[in-house]
Amino acid sequence: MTGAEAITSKRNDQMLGIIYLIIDILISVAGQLVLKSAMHNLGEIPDDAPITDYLLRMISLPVIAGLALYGLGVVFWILCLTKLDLSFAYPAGTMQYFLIFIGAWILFDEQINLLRVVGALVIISGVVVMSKDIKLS
Amino acid sequence: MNPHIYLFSSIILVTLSQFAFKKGVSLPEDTSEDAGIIQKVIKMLFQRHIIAGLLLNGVAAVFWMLALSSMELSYVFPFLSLNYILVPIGARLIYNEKISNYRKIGIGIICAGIFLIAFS
Repeated sequence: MTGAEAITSKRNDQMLGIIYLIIDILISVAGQLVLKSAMHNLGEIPDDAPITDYLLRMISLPVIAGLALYGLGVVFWILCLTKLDLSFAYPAGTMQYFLIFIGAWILFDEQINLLRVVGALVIISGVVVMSKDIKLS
Repeated sequence: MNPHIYLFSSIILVTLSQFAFKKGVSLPEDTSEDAGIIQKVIKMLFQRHIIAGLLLNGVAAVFWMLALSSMELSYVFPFLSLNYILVPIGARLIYNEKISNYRKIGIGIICAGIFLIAFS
């Protein structure tokens, strides 16, 4: 393989990795929103009934769908890790936070206050710093 | 019961599952036979540490849903980043793995972020 071909092949790998990562993020966020919606509809855990009743009621189509999306997200995450460095994939994966905020605001009318947004930004910068040392592994 | 108990149980179980997986994939590979990739994957899936990891993850998912039943998704979700902190600390305790300076600073910053979320 010539040098130019090697560079093109690496770039193709990165593009594919980013596509896997985007699919992972979208599927994982969708999974969380489906799970939240399922639990939202089930209502809070009653104090006066045994929790086993509640656990049995959790076995439902929306919960299974949410878990299936979660599992599919893990598959795409692993695929993406075969193509991208962790030092890029970890911080990029935290984009989920903002999609979760937007989704939860639209679907469940959750109030996204400034503290929550700043907290997410601080966490993301922490992940960026932390990921600096895994570049060479 | 305070729903935070469900949340933190879920996060701790996910961290434990990471160590089970780590143990599962780092056992010496069986090279006695020339197995195909599919056979290798199947063999790995039925390895006891991997099964333990999957079970821990399953229980973690149940606790996660119990947490979601009474708390906002935009509140509980950022707490998942606690895994970034618990995994290196666990690796330090169990395998005596070094925590680099970048990682120490990162852990500190993530803690600050989680603190902000906790008060939101």
